[in-house]
Amino acid sequence: MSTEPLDLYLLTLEIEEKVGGIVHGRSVNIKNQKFTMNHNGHFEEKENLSFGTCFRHMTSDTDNFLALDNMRNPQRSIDEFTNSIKRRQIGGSYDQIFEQQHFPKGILKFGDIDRDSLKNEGENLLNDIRTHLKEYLKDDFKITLSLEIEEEQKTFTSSSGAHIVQKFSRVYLLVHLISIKHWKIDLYRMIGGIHMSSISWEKLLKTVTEISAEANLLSKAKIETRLEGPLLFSNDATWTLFHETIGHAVESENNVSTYLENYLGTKVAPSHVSVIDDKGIDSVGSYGFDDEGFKAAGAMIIEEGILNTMLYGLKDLKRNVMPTGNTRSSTYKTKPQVRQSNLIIEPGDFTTEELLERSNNGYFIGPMFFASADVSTGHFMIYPQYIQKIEDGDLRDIFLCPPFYGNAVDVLRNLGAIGKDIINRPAFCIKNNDRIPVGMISPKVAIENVRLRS
Amino acid sequence: MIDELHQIKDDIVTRLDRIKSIKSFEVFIHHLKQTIEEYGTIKSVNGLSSTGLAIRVISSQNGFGFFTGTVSQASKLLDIISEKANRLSSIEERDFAPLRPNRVAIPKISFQAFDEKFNHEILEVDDKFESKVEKTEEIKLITNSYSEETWEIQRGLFVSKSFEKSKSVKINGKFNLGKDLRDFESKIMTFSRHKGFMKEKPQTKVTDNYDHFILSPEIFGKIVAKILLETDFRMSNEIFSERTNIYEDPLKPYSYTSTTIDDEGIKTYPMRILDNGEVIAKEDELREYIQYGGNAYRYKLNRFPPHSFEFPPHPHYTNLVMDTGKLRFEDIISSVDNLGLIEKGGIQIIQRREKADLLIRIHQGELYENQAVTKNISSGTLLIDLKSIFQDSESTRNLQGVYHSKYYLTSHTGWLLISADKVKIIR
Repeated sequence: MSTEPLDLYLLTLEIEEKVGGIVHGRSVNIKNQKFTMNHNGHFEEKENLSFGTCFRHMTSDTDNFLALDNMRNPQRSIDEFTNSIKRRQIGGSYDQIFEQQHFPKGILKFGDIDRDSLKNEGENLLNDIRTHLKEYLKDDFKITLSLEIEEEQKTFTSSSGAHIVQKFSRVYLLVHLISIKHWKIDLYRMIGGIHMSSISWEKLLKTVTEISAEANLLSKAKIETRLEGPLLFSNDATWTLFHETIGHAVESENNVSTYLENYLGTKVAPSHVSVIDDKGIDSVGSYGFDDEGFKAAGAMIIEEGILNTMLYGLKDLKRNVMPTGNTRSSTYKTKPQVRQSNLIIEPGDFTTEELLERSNNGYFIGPMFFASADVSTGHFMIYPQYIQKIEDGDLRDIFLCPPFYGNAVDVLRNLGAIGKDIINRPAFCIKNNDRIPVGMISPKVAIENVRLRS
Repeated sequence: MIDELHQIKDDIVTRLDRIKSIKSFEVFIHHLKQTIEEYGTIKSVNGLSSTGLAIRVISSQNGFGFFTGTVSQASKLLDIISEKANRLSSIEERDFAPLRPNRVAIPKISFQAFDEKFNHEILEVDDKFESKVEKTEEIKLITNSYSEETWEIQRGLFVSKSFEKSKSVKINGKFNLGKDLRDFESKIMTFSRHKGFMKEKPQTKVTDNYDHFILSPEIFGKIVAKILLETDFRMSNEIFSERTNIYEDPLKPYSYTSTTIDDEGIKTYPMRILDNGEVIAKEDELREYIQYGGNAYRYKLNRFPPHSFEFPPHPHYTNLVMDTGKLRFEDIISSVDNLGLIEKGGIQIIQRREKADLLIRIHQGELYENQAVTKNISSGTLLIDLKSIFQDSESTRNLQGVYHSKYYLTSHTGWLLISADKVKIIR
């Protein structure tokens, strides 16, 4: 089988002929290159070329999936797959409603990363960043830097006639610092995007200055296990909180019913809060069509505090709702699921100084290590890299901390002022063992009178 | 298909041999075939056939490179290697040559028979499931998964192969029936009875009124794995008691992660990790050890899947085995009046400067009063000083293996009895 989409289309038709239903065929070709500079200054290159194909066969009540990367002889695997479906008698017909009517032609392109120039200058770039970090850092830190360049080409065809080709290019730069004196002092920051400007030298310098200032402060940090009073979430922490508690709770394909499901059309947050899932802006989560062939429409999840829509996939057509084009998977190996793209929390009117004043005697929550949420209840866990006491409208003592637990309903109710400065960074979201890039676009948010347990 | 792989591998070796700037290289081929069938409200067949290629290269200047790809990309990958071989800048201090005499060679296996057997085994357990889902109220979904893995390691004359099989049947995505399906019916019965029991007994939060707590091997094993893999050993050294012994045993029978050959094709053997509370070998300090020994696996923490051809082999544990205690589980149940048995829960280690605390969020447990279960413990949080786990408590004599998918290892520990005055209940 060649890489031509026509062959993919013929194979989808072949499967449809044997077992009925509707068949989607996808091929994913990824070139991933990673440069790492470890704490000894050793530079390492890793290159991964991955190319494979998958087929999804659907009938009214079944959903079957086959992934293979043997391009020379796919016939044997396809025969085994169709035989299994026949044996279990789960082939059959498919509701007409699922057949897409309008299909675009041509190639869509997202991102303009100059892979060749980065390939040649990767080592110099990381060396320069390392030199700058060494200058700024007072304490002894292990510095690990990595630069990842990813090129991806996705082809989607379906037995009902779709043919969509999309090309993506993305770049990520990760700075990771670990203290030699105290293992708990662990800081990392990732920048990147789909344009060369997202890792411009100015942005790199800003990141290096910020992270080394935090690292130097943390050398004297104590540990704080209580988090009470007004809280000011950093841009990173705000986005992570919204992504986990609201973003995942509005994905329609969860196996459990979510705490937000019954609140469609009602007010779930104060009027100044709006949350959008936007696939069309310049960020790593952008795309034109999802992995079920639907146009990637933007979704206004929360509009002025009202829960407006969930994120829907193909299967939701049965419930008479239009898919929002959010079904994605990272590789050919996994079945697509309803996922977020670029989650945007709409900025407010407050400057950082005003936000700090409003959160007096509270805490500033630094960027996250990671976070998770139980979408059925709204309980969440956040693990900040550090927290900082706010006194007299300024950031004072810095603390290391354990993970904190809380409930999204309490937090949403107490959402206060929203800042006007926003960030646009890349992030990764893992759901059911599938890791996809998502865009992090968020301001700072003040939350009044909330108590999180450690 | 597999014969094609041999051809591709030979081509790669020939081409790499021709590149003068390469001193030493290793070619790995990983073939995975997997079928997962789901019975229940969701009916599905999921098949995966994947062949991955990984090439490790050491240049004449000791530069080190690691290149991976799916097998269809082999030719492009070789172009990249020949272009980059001269300017690899990472330093690898060891050579692959000393590995060769230790390689384990296994006779070639007919791959056609291999595939036929695969299809036969998947069919073997088929029809029982559909009827069970319909008849048993508690069962919403049965997942039957079967996979076979082949690792090929090749350099010149040294060939080795390893086969790994795994088969599991899960109910509702969680309750694992294990590999042996001969007593499938009785296991289903146990599952239903347990579920019925959970419905009948009242649910309660954990309270102060217990004399003792007992932690299941699942929680105790998770604690041990988390300490060894996610925390610093400087801290662990002070936590373990003088009685604590932990072994790494890749040859442990009836364990999912046991293997006689590691991912470099070298024979594996057991080693000590903790000897009477003293740390012998930390995972990332084992480089020298694996140069001549075994136990190198393609594994990465916090990556999914944790075990893949895309990661270079590095030292990792397979089966963590704790020294046994003196107690018997039945004796504990019969001798303690008020006992909180914690079966499942999430754990978190909170590290402070002087000490470390363990936080257990209970998901499932039972309250034993006068040797009988009276209530289900469904929620609550316990805080325990990590030192108490190893220094002030005792484990049972019989070990139980629990596979932790996050860490890609199996822990073999007993039940752990801990006095209630060492445990703080957080409200």
